[in-house]
Parts: sequence; C-alpha cells; structure tokens
Amino acid sequence: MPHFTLTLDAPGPVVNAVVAVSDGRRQALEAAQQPVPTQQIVRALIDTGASHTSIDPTVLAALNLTPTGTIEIVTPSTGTGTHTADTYDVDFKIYASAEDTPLAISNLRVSACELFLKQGIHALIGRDILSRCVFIYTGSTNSFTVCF
Amino acid sequence: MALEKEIATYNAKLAELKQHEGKYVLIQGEAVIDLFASYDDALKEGYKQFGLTPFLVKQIHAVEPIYYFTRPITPVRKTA
Repeated sequence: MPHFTLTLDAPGPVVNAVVAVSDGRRQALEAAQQPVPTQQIVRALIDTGASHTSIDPTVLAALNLTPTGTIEIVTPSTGTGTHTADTYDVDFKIYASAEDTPLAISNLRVSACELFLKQGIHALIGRDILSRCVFIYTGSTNSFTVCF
Repeated sequence: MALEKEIATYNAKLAELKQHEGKYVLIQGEAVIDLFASYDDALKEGYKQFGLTPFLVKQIHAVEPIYYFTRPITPVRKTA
C-alpha cells in the first residue's frame, strides 16, 4: 500500500498537493482552442473536522474554473444557519516528494472557501478524501502517515 | 450568482426528481438534460454537450445534505 510519513508542521498535518483542471474541462478548453491553465501547487492541511475538501478561491481563480455545483455548509463563522458555497471539479494529487506515488483523485468535487492564506494554507483536505485513506496521527513522534 | 438559473430549475423540478434520489442530474439553464449513476458520468456528459458553457451537476436529495467545517472558513459564491 503506498504511503508517506511527514513531520507535523506548525499548523498541523500539512501536505503538498497539486490542483489541476479536470480531464473533462481540459478537453473542453482544447476544443475551444483556449489555453489550459497551469496546475497549482498548494499546501493543504488535513482536517478531520471538515466533512469535505475545500480550496481557497485564489487557487480556483488561477485555474480559471467555472462552478459546476453548490453545497450547503455550516461553519462557526456562519452561525446556526447554512450558507451556500460553489463547488468545482478538479484533479487533485497529494504527495510527499516527487519520487513518491501520489494519491490522485480525478473529478474531485471541492468547495470554494476563503482559508488561511496568511498561515500558508490553500486547501483543507476533508473526510471525503480521508475516506479513501488510512490517516495515522502520531503525536508522540511529531509525525503523521497517510496510506492509500 | 453563478448557476442561479440551474439551481432554480433543480428546485422547481425536485418533486419529480426525488423519485431518482441518489442519482446525479445534469441541468443547463431551464433544461434537465439527463440522470446519471455517477458524478463522473454526469460531468463527462456536461462537458461533452456544453463545453465551457456553465452547467450544473447535482446529486438528487429529498433533503439537502449539510457539510460541516469546524474551522471558521468563509464560503464563497462566484458572481455570474
């Protein structure tokens, strides 16, 4: 089973991720003779408190994406009611180093939420991705492991 | 907001769509295009038929699911 172990960062379990346009959108761009935006390399925090993966709108804007859905979300900042967030389909890869086999997910539905750019976090990896992995948080060695 | 027309179409058709709960519906403007077993299949057809023109892919739910975040993040909607 491919896996990687990394040291816990100040914000917590942070991994490198690559966000790119989905295959369907790439084909549509090529058919329209429009350039395919360059994939974005981001820092993503694994967040067991997030039911869904979310990406900062600055990253989605760099990919020139158009929303293909919406979801209703609740956060501490939205109070007791729900708020609507746009969702986008992206190709998403998580890796520890270029030599490692990445965890690659095609057509991942992510929501657009403003995150903590000042902390260097561009994405929250939620339980939708964790449902495909084994995630081991080893506080005693200040490390975490992702198996997939 | 983006997809405003498509969301209105989904809500207007929800009474009929509910019998297909769990499937994914592809909507463009006021037209319900088709139903699909998977998100991937609905997206593929959406891009095939509409290219870069906005379309909606939505899983059909009688009661809309709610997604939870314990961090105080701010949801964002794109203006059309």
